[in-house]
Amino acid sequence: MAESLLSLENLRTYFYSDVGVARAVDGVSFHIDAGETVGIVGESGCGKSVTALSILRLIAPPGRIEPDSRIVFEGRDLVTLRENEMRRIRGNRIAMIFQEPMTALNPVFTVGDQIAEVARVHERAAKKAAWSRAVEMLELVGIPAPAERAREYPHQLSGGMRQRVVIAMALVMKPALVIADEPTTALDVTIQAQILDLLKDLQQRFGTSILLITHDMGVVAETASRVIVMYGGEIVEEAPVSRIFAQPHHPYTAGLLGAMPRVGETRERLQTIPGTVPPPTNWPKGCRFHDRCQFAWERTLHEHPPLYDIGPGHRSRCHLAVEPERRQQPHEPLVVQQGAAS
Amino acid sequence: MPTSPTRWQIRASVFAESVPGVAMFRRSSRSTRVAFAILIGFYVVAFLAPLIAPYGVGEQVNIVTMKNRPPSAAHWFGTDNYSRDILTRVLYGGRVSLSIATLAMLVAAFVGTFYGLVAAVAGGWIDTLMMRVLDAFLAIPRVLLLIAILALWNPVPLWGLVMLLGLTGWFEVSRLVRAEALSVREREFVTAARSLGASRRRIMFWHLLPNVLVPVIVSVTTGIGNVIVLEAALSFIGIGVREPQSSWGTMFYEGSNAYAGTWWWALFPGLAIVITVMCFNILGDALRALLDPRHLPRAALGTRGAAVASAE
Repeated sequence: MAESLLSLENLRTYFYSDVGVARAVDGVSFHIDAGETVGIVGESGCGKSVTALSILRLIAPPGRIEPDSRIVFEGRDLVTLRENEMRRIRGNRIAMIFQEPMTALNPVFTVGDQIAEVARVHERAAKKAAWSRAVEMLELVGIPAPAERAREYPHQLSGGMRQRVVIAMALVMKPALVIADEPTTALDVTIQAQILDLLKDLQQRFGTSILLITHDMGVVAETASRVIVMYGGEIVEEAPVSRIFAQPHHPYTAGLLGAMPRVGETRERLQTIPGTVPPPTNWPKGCRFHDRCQFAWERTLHEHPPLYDIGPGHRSRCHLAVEPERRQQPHEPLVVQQGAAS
Repeated sequence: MPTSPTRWQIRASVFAESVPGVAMFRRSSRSTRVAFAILIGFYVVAFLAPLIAPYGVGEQVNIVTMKNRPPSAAHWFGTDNYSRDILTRVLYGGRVSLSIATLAMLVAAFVGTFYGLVAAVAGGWIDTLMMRVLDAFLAIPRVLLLIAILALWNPVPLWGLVMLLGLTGWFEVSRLVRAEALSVREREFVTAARSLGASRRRIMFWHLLPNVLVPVIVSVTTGIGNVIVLEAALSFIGIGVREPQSSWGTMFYEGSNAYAGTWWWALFPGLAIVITVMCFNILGDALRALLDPRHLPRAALGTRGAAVASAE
């Protein structure tokens, strides 16, 4: 198999708390090739952000990456890397973009200082060189009058500007991989499109791979080439973008798509997925989605489904792959039935 | 073409805007502003003592005719037992009192900030241990500890007094810093900095330190007032500042030993102490109130403060 830029093998990140072990990420495997954009989607609490933080080894106790997990990046296993070597990778080879541009910047330093800091950390760049690098980066991410803007503080900039600054910080070292955790969620819709365009543009220029974490299927459709759907700390479906929109296999994926408004469609109401993500200390037995699924049957209550291969590059963790006739028998999901009974 | 402001000018103005204490100071009450002005005045006058004092330090005007004279045009605060001008001595005494208190609080702020930051960043058992050690220190009454040490270290030089007062005064500061650092540590920009490869040390000094300084400022302000009283008390019982150096405390002690008729001898140094401490307390209280979002008028708040205020 060809060497991927990043490949996760059975990543498990558990949090050890008083109320039990939270298996936030529970056996996730996927890979990203150079220059590729992969989207991870799922509801809050499905493990996507923990996956991202695990890749950078930013999980703090009581959280822990379980020892048999492997995160192979550029041929090296990040799980076993020493902390100071890991630090040389963070911001340098792998960088992260955060959701809230409001809080992801330090309020007491100018944005120029903060961008320059990255160059100073990784290249021991001189102050002046680092500063002009910062200005250059600001220009690159499309901030007008970058030399003046560099001297401003985060609160003087708009949300979209701030997110551009955050992106500039992530790209200073031209990393091979950028992890973007909900990069547009906190922004206005009009700004969202600009930021996504910027990411795409920069990716083409530098050949960076992007791991895009979002709960917004629309964002994925616009940017990613491959989609990973997570639920209950594991991957439930993985497919090329075109396939996932045309023929979603897992009922959860279908639910996410149904919950998304589309232009040119006349529907009375958007569909919802009933219920919520179960607590990670207590994933349901069998299929973790069974209580919210309209196709659940005996088998899904007891047998944890594997990731079935169901097409080119298309995998799904659903027993419907082997019993497709069940799709003809939708019913009220268990959560709804129980809710009505009680 | 108007010249664009320098980085430092912008930094200063932004600091003034973003730190509520500084921004709010302009809108603060009259008493706060008066207190602030008095303190500035005292510092300036003490600093300029050699230039503005009417007589030389320790100068005995006329030991025969001019001793124990009440306030007059020539000697506004009167003269003492040795015919020294009390105004002059209060000015010079202010230098000693104010600089001891200020330097001691700087020592305390420095040690306390460092200790609190390290505890917060280290976390885990190191944090627990450091906090228990702090509890142990706090259990010892400060005055008793100082008296015990000063009984052995006798006579104590001024720098020694500064260190002793500073090293017994940082506990409160370090608690505040630790608490603040623990909350700042959870903010996203710290994770962001780590994700960009910043080391623990860099996070501590670059990202946490500037964001925890506000409570330190408040604590130091009230602390200086306390240290002035403490130093005066130690000097009063004869183990603090000694002749030929004299602080307000020493002078008050000498004055109180004098004849009942020479009230001016103790009154003026005493007034200096009372006014200074009162001003520091007013200023400290004002800063504390300003930094507590519940005390702020809504309009003056940033978005974060407004959210806090409206959540109540």
